[in-house]
Amino acid sequence: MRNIVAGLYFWSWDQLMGGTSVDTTWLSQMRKGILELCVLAVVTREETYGYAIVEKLGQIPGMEVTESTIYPLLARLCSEGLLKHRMAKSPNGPSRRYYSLSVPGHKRLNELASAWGTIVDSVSSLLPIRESSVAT
Amino acid sequence: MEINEPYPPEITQAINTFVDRIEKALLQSGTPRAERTSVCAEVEAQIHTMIERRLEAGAELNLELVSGIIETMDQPEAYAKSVDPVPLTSSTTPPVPPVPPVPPATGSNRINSRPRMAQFRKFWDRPTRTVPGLDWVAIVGLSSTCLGLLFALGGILERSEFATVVGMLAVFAGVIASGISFWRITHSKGLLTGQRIASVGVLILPIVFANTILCVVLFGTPLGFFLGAVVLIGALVYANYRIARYALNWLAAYSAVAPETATVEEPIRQPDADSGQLPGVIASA
Repeated sequence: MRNIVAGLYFWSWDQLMGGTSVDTTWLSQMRKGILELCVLAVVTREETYGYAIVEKLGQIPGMEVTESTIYPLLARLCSEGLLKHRMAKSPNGPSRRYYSLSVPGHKRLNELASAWGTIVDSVSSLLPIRESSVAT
Repeated sequence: MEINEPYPPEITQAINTFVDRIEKALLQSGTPRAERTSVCAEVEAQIHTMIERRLEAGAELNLELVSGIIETMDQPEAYAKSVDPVPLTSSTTPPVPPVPPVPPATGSNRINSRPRMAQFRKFWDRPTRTVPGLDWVAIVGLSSTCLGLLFALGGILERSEFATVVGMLAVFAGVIASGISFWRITHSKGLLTGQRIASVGVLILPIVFANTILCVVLFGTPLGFFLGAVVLIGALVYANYRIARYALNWLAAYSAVAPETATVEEPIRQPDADSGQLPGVIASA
């Protein structure tokens, strides 16, 4: 009985303090980790502006990122020198920032892409779905 | 209306208010100035792009259209959450620039502008802020609750009925004020902050009560009262920490002056591959 009361107490406290689903947290952390790679990969394809990056990544299943995630990341990548931007006039409203990859950005993308490939191969080799697909 | 005509003042004001709220949220999260400027510029550009698209689709340019667009976007608090917190006193963080005072909101410059008759509502339903800020009612509520609990405890220990009654009245007033604050914050469309403080103010009495009862039941000794007092002291420390942090943020915002960070324009470098991949980038992965 004492354990039940204590368990209910701590469960309530956890819910009060904002308890979250494990799946949601895990997916969120994974997305956050690979977001920099995704942004660099989008920008390396063509010079583009912020909202276009948001739309591009927002259309990718599983990413589901919004502007509040992308814009601070773009700003950080710019301040780190991985991205560079130029201002271009818009038909209406303020000028748009068009982003492109800098030389350190290319290097960073190389490193991240290499690490991503290694991780994907390693994890895939551990998953049972891979064994079954290989067997078939 | 032609797309390239300037927007009416109320629409420009609505956009500016929203962007100001985002900048304030980023400022409070300790984001460096250059990054704040960049984020705000992106948000503003996105709003204009979305307006352009709606107009091209045949929509009419008015405040409702812009308010609808803004409502579909992430709220300012989301920007603060997406940034890793950096202490304002960090040596690697540029000093935080002062925030110019924003004039009080009127019917025309509020995002959720409504007919004038609808503005005659109870005072807690229409905060006069145009940028996010801590709700003072939450501070008053939590302080009243904690001080009242201490006062009542002292009255019980000293066998003073007057102090006990006054303390309990202050506790109940604090709980009610915290509840009002919670309601104000949840109905302020992000203009008021301090939801956690209000929550603690509402819940501290039942939490202390539950803790005390739990400890008395579990241990069967006055240890329960001791642990309840520990919880109360913890709540007081937390309230003081929040107040001090809020005060320090405002002091830092108004006292520090940052040099302008000029953005150097660099020449355009066009991608050199039609395949969509730069040579040696993805291929090496």
